[in-house]
Amino acid sequence: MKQPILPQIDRNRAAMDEALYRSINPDMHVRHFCTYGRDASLYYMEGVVSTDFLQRYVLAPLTLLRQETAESSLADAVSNAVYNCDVASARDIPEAVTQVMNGRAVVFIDGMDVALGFDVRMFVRRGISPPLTESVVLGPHQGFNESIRDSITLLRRILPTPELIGEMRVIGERYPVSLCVMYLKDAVDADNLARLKARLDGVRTDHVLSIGALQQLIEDRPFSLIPQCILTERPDRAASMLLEGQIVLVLDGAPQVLVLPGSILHLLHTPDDTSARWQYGTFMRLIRLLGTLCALLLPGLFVALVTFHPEVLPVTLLTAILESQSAVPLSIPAETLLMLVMFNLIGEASTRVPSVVGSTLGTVSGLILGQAAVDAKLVHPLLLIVVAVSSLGSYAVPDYSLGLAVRIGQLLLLAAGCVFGIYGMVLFMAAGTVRLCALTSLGSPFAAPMSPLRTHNPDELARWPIWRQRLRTWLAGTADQQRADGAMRRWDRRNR
Amino acid sequence: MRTTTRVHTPAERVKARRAGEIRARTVLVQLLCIVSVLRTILTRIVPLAGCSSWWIALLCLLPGAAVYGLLRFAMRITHTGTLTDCLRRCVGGVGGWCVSLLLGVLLLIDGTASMTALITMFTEGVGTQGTQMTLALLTSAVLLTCLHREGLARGAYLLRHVMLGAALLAAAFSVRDVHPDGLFPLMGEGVPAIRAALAAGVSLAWPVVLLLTLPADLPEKRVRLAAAVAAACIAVPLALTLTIPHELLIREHELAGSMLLPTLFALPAVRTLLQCLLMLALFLAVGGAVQMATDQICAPMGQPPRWLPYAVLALLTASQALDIRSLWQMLGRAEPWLLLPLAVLAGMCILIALFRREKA
Repeated sequence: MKQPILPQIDRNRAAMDEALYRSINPDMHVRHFCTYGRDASLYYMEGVVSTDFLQRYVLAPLTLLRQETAESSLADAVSNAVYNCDVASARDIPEAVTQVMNGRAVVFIDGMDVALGFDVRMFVRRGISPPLTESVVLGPHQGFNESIRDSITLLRRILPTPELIGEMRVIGERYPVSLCVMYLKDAVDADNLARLKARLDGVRTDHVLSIGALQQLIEDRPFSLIPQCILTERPDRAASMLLEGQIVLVLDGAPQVLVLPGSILHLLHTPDDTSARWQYGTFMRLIRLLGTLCALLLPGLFVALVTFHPEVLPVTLLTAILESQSAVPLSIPAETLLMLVMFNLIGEASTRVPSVVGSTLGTVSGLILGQAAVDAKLVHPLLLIVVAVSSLGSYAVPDYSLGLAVRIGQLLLLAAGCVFGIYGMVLFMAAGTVRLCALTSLGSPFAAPMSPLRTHNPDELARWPIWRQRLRTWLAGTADQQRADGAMRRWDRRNR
Repeated sequence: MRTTTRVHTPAERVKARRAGEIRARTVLVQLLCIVSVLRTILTRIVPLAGCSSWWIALLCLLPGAAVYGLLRFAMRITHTGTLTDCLRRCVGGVGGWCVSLLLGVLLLIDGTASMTALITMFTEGVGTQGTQMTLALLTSAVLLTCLHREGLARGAYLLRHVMLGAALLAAAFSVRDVHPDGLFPLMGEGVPAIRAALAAGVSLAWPVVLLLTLPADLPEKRVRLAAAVAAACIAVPLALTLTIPHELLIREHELAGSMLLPTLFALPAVRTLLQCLLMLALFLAVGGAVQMATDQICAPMGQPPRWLPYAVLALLTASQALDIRSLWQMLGRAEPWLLLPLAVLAGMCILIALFRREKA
């Protein structure tokens, strides 16, 4: 039962003091004053309101009003007096508490059975800085920050249209967080939107700590190795996905946004591909794909070939491997595993150490440790090259989560190669491909449009010219399927 | 640079999506057909017939093609889109279910043969250590992770380019080892061997009937293209059997190890590539057989229970507990008869449909 706001201010004060734990919570402030000849109290939280603004535009006008108002409604009179702020009324104590927690200054006046919350928010926030994990050569260098308002503004600046809808809601039952569901009204698939809203409604948790936590709560197959949603900290990338009919979730406090539904291709594409000319974009994509395949397959393939299928290797290479191997005490699978674990360790350590010593760590671990391992005859040099190339490949994967999945898959494929040779790897890859194709993202096939075939632009592994990409993807609704009416290069007769 | 059809209305969108799914399922059925035909040719016909196996194989494709043609004719005169609908119209609901069950059993036999071939490839061809049962359990464990109705079809659809590319690459590297004199003598190992090979391969092309269980949503041009690709997929390995010096072959046809015959005399790297390709195709075919058998068995119920594919897979795995020679011999005795019930069914459907039309 919610406690209503009563006309007796003393009872409201007592209820608010209790609800805000004011006796032990020193940053919950209250100012008692008189307005319209009545007792009044103003509740706010220190640090999330602009004290200067509060003093000048809320408290000053209210304290100057000493006579009883002639207006029939006291609430209307107060709202009119404080004309610089957005006002929201609260009918019960919990609602008033929520307003205080959201950064509003809430006023109670004796004889008034509502409280008025004035928007005087001023949160501490980071400025707009370049994205940390998705840097590009061509294209904007802006990233989202932790403020939901800034993130929404960045998106609205790129797509200045009222069709860009941002539905505000909260998630988390006991300690709610603001969440904005953004989509382009004409491009979004209504089924996808309804499905996403149903999932958000079905989330039952006290608090959502991060966007990654939200992803785990709403994605289709949480036990799958591959993420089925796209996390991005680039507004331009999020905007391009909005144009394709996808839905963007902006969570307060998260410097990334979550995009649904997604596909495996979204995890392999970067904004550079679109900014660069199509030949370069295609080339970069193929290099990236090669890197991903190297990361996934190379260590397992090396072990499988040397251990199970030496006949496939050229004799000179095989001789060199076996000669150097004879001086090494460990078996090839054990060596490979050791090196992969070491490289993963280096990767993890470089992420955690302060950036100042990061380069030193890279030099120490990459050069000295690798060279020392070879000199100590713990590993042979060719294996070092194999592991280094595969590690480089894993860093070429544009999506951080997919990169981690590739690194785990690399270890699993190594195990398959160690036990059954190339055949084990083939079976494992086949099973992996089937699992990948069985995945869905918000109900849409995750391997589409490659399998099953769906409406798409010529923008899969190869990126064909931008003026040929006239359609929205299979993820968009049917209302507005075409991105351009007719040819995009209408001036050019050859490319119509 | 071609994009798929533009979609503007929800109905068109549903149709386009359905076409995508059907295309994926068609590829899985095609793969199943190719694997079944190749398995029978390589393990049943080539070891028996030697040099004459190429024309025996072509001849053995005819009965299956004839049954396929008859069933298509039955579908045309009953104005139905799928084989299941045609049978339901001709022999009623219960009859239709019996026929679905029959197709399910045939698929189970085919799946068991493919699994046995896969295990034998491991033990005989590749030389993997482990007993038949251990390897069957391991293969099933991997299969267990990917038994998914749409996933298998989509996986096959995604991997089709990889498989086709690998096959072409292997064929290109093996071309120089082809001995055209392997086409002769036409009578190969003599009349008794030819008779035995014909008997063993008479039901060679029975899985093509499975194509009729899918809705015919594909345009005629695509069907022709798919048929051409499937024919090439069978013709290329057949041509590769010409790399086999038949005089060096040991006439051992009791086991499925002869699946590896086209790879035996290839370059080491090509051999590995071909073996990988065969294994991948067999693996997907076993999965496809399990999934499709489940779908057929539960056809009248609609969506099969989730546990059923796993139970069918367990059944297939349990079959590997039998002595591999006995199992292979049993399968060898059963396989020639697979087409017979379908031929009877085709005849029955046509007769019933014609009779009803006459009556009307």
